[in-house]
Amino acid sequence: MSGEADQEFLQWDYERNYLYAGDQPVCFHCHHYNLFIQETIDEALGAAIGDQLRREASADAWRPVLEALFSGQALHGSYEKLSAAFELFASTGQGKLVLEDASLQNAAISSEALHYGTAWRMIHGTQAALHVTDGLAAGFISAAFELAYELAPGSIEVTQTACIAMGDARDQFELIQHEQPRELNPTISRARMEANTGQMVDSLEEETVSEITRAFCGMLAQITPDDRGLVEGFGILVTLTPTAYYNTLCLKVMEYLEAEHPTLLQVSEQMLYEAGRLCGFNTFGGVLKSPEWEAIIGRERTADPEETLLHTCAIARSFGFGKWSVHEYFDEDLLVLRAPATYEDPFVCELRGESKRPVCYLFTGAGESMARLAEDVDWSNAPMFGLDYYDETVKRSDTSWRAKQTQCRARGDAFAEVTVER
Amino acid sequence: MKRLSAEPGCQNNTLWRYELPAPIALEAFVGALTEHAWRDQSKPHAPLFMLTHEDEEHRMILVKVTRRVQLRLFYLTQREDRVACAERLGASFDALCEELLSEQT
Repeated sequence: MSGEADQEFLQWDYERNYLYAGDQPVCFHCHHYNLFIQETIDEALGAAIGDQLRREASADAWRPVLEALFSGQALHGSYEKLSAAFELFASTGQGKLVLEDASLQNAAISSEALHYGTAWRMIHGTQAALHVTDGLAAGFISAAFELAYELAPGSIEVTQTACIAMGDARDQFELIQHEQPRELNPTISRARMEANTGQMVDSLEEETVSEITRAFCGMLAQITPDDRGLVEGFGILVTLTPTAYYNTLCLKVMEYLEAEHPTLLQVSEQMLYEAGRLCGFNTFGGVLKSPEWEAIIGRERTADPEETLLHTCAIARSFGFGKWSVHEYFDEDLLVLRAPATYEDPFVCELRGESKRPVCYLFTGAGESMARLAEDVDWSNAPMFGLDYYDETVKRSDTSWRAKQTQCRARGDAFAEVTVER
Repeated sequence: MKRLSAEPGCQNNTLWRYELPAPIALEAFVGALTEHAWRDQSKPHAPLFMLTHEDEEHRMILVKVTRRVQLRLFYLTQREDRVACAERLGASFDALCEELLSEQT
């Protein structure tokens, strides 16, 4: 995915299992998680505020990535910069943006397929979306134009005026230039990610997990987008996105609810947990079941629960989630996962200092899914990963696995830990 | 014997397994596919072959070590057309296999 593993612009940190574009942490996610986290934000804040938050979070998360791209390639002209930016966007599986008019006065951008709109159609079929779905693309466009025309960060607002998921023929975007730039969302640099990473931990069978992680990273680097700028692999649609985007969404939602509707805070935490659980189940399950995975491990996989757990850790590491590790496992009883840090807690540590609550929602929700994939999924019976199978195996299951984050860097602990108990 | 069977994945009826007859080498099957509208996009030294249909954007994944062959219908193929589309492609694979098998005898 434009992600030649050893290229200068996109680099894997194999020690902490982070992936960087320029100086910014980025990660892979599938269309299930991407759309579900978007719907979670809308349910918490309402679609209008949700869309605005996505546009702003996206612009601020992508801006430093684009700055690194432009300076790395010594790009100067506005059109040249915009073209390079849109090429990068497509290479990360977000979709192909078409620059119909690159002038600041009459700027016009369209697309035939963007990741979020396509994800909507894949999950909801012909049912039309009630609101625009491509806030991430809108934010990206605004950052690209600000940098291309050397304008103040936060001075361009991009809105989506047509949306394929809502039934329009194409996605379309318009620019508005503001005299007064808005307040920006901070991001976190590689140096600060490393500074906020906790005590190193190893997994059971660390050598095996590391070896598979490297092989999978190599395969991820080879995946290329199709003509629409979308990446289909392992039975899922995949994107590469700055982690600051996801972190800003989660942090802002939780802070908004804490201030405005504290009684809803727990509900929203539960929904972010649910997004992680859904992501872990469908993404990890889809990857494990794919022929690509057979190619990586060099054989058909077994249904051994410990193998499943170790392999899911390797997937999480390859996606840039951090060094997820199986610390302890007792079948049908207890799973303890640890990581020096996830991509979630360094962000909160850096920007907010200590938190009263643990903040690794993805790690926690996915932790439950890992236990379920290991023990509840009947691998011999060709599991049909998707929402129906998820409902049947996880939501309506008689087996009561429950994950809790027991250590968190943001609370001052030495590492991140999730305990999954039955 | 029917060589194509549904291999449900994330999207209903987009993933299909094809049982390649044992006498046919994976490389020979890939070669035959490339002569029939499939573009070989495999990376050098990769542990699998990856092909894309030139007109319809379906994909084929062929794992070298396990000989697993998976057909992935293009994700925007209409749901109601997917089974027929897979069966049509499956029949074309069968024809290629018969051709390759007859060449061997």
